Amino acid sequence: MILRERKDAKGFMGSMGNGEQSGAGPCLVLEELTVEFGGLRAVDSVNLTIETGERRVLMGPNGAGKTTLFNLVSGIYPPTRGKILFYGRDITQLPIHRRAALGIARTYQVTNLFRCLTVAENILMSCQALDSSKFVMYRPLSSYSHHAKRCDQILEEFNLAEKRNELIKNLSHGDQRHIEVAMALAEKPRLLLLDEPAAGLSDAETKELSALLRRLDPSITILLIEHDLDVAFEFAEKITVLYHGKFLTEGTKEEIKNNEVVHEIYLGAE
Amino acid sequence: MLMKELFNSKTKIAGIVLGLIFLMAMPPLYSSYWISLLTQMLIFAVLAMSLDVLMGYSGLSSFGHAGFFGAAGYVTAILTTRYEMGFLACFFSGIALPILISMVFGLLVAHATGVSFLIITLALGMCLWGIAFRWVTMTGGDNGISGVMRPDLGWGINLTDPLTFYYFVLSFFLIALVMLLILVRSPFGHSLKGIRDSESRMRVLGYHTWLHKYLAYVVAAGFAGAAGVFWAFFNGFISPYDMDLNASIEIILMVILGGPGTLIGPAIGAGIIVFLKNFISAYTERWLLIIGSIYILTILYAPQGLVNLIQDWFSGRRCKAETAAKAAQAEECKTWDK
Amino acid sequence: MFDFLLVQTLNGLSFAALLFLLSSGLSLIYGVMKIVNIAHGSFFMLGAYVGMTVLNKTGNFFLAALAGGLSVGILGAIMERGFLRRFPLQAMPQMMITLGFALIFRDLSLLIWGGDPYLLDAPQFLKGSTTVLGVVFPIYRLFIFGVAVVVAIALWLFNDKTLVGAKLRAAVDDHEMARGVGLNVPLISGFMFGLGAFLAGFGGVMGGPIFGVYPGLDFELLSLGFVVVLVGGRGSLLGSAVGSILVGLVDNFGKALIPELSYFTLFAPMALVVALKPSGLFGKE
Repeated sequence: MILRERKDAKGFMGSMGNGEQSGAGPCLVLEELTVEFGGLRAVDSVNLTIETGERRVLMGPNGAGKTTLFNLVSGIYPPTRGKILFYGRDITQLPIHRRAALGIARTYQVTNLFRCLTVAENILMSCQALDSSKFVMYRPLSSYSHHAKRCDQILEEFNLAEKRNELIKNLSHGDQRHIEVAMALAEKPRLLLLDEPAAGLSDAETKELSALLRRLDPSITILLIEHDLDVAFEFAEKITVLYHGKFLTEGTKEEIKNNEVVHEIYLGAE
Repeated sequence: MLMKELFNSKTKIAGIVLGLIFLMAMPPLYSSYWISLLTQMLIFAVLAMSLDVLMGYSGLSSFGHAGFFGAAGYVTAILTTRYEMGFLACFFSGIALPILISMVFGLLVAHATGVSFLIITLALGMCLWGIAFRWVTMTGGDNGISGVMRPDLGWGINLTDPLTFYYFVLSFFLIALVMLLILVRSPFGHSLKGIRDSESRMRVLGYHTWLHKYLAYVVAAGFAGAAGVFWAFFNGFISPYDMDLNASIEIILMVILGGPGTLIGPAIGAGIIVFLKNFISAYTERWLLIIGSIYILTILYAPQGLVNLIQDWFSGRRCKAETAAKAAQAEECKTWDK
Repeated sequence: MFDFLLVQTLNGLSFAALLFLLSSGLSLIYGVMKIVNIAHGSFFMLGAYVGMTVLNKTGNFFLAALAGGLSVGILGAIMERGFLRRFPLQAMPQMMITLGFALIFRDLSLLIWGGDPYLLDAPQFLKGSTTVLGVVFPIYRLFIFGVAVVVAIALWLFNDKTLVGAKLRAAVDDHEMARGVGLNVPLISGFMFGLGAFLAGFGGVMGGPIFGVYPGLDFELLSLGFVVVLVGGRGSLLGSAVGSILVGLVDNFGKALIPELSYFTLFAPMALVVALKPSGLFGKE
């Protein structure tokens, strides 16, 4: 089962230069991370440390800055202040695509797939993303057997094999959310940022998704934003709560469940 | 469903066979008017396909594409009329200049997307036109350069004979078509489609999208240049009018009419536009009025172009135009994504 | 040397004045309504043609200017209401439609006015020259610079200071909200587009005595207009002004110093701006 495959060195491990391997030091460290948009601090001096293999959930009412935090980590815009360290390496100024090469993958809250392409074509886009073959102009993509095999693997794993030739726009929302996760996993990431994977899913689909999340390779570090409290609490080992862009509190499931302040901000926000 | 697919591929094969018969086997029977027309169609088909790589496959609308076409034409004209150079010299130089120009322009253009790309390429295309128009000592200015003679390539291939030249151009078209088909099916071509659909996702996946766009721009320029070389030889004459904004717009029309993102569509679109232009011009001068109206009607009622329309009819897939429309709307909502 | 510089600068500035009239409308439409109006140069040209006809019939230059502007303004409003509104916020289809219209306008003007170039007749009291700092310079060119300044101030006041200006901005920033607050968005959109067209048409008549009107003027000016918008930044009035001056001066000095490569001289400042500040000098991100 590929989801449980040991994620071996992909070649870029050695090229990182600092000699770290997964397991040595925390996966992700955010130091005083701040971003301001026209006077508004969407993320305000957030400090966060996530260990390798952790299942961390990011919670907070709407507008707390969770997606903004994801955008900062994936590199969509630079922070106004602060640092982002990935396995000890400062990636704060690194362009988006280079972060992916280091092993950071994310999904989107609003499905962001290639709607005019088929499921297989979407997965293949992910499979070839970190390979130099993506610049080759003289050979058909179908001739790259290692990409095709990986694509088949992923399709099998996510029960999408029969739908491989369907256009994304013709699929159900639930299937699309699955493909979002599948796309991110195809690149064998070391850090996976999941932005509300259960958004818009029915109860049955949500249960399927939870099962999927449980089966994910334990060596992958996962940071999850999720509004559905059931999914969040089932998945989390540790929970960080943000409020108005600032770090509010952190703790285990139990601690957060019983935290008065957290209750207040959630009830108050409703 | 299965029947539809079978029908679809059978129709495609039938279409290809018929097309080959018309283009390869039958021409000796055609009148010189038709040979000339077909030659023109094939040249513009390559030009339109080159733009499709940018417009249809990468989602980048270039409004200055005729600039590369014309630049190559001028190189060819200058090399033959003033330096009496042969076909190969003209061909390679004719492709080299647009490639060099696009390598410089690309630095400015590859960062842009959507509307900014449009405007920058428009301005750049006009800069090239401006040189052709005002650098009178080199380009002949408004009068252009005439007297471009087709060479005798030896081995019995005398390009001054219209039928021989036609087959020469046909070979060029088929080679270009095959090369471009390979390109769009390659991993690079696949990346372009991804950039078209969601550049943001591509970057997050790890694609250096700037580089892909840059390369696509240069490759498209190269093919446009190749077409330009053949145009200069066909027409015997090159002028700034071959590369002004109007010309760039005509290529866009060909792509839109035929259906962006299909390669064959724009080729057919080119054929239709060339035919209409010649045909209509024989009866009325109101060519622009007619083509402008056709254009507006196409946008209003068949925004995905003819080939896609026909494909849709067979398989009920109505993707690209709708998605493009939705994407444009969604663009407004993506405030977090720069 | 000083004389040469002065004359060329004044020439450049008068050209800049026309560019401003053209590009302010273009920038307005592009920056605020997100429509790339390929027919904008056509508006300029049509305005000049209509103005010429009115001038020939009435002999009144200012009436001609008004007529040129208004007729094109109404045409623009019709174009927006009748066709562009079918594709709200979809840049590509809207642009394509304006493109189709540009071709149609070109042909119609060929049909109605023929292919010969014409020079409009400036009003008598503006003909002739005057001395500026020891250099002889046509009065009319100074006049259009003055007109452009007046228009610029008027636009700025309108946009910044009036309630209507605020409503316009609101309507474009957020259709839904604007509608919710009771603003008549369709009317406002049509008006905006029409205003931009009016400015272009008016500019066309103004430019008539100097640059004339001929087929091909539409696309030549469209390109220059886009260069101005690129350099100055879209949606910015100040950007249109500064961009027009820059482009006007560069183009003019280019023509005077290296006429053969003069179109290319525009390339340099444009490239610089696009490379360093992609949104233009005064453009919003």
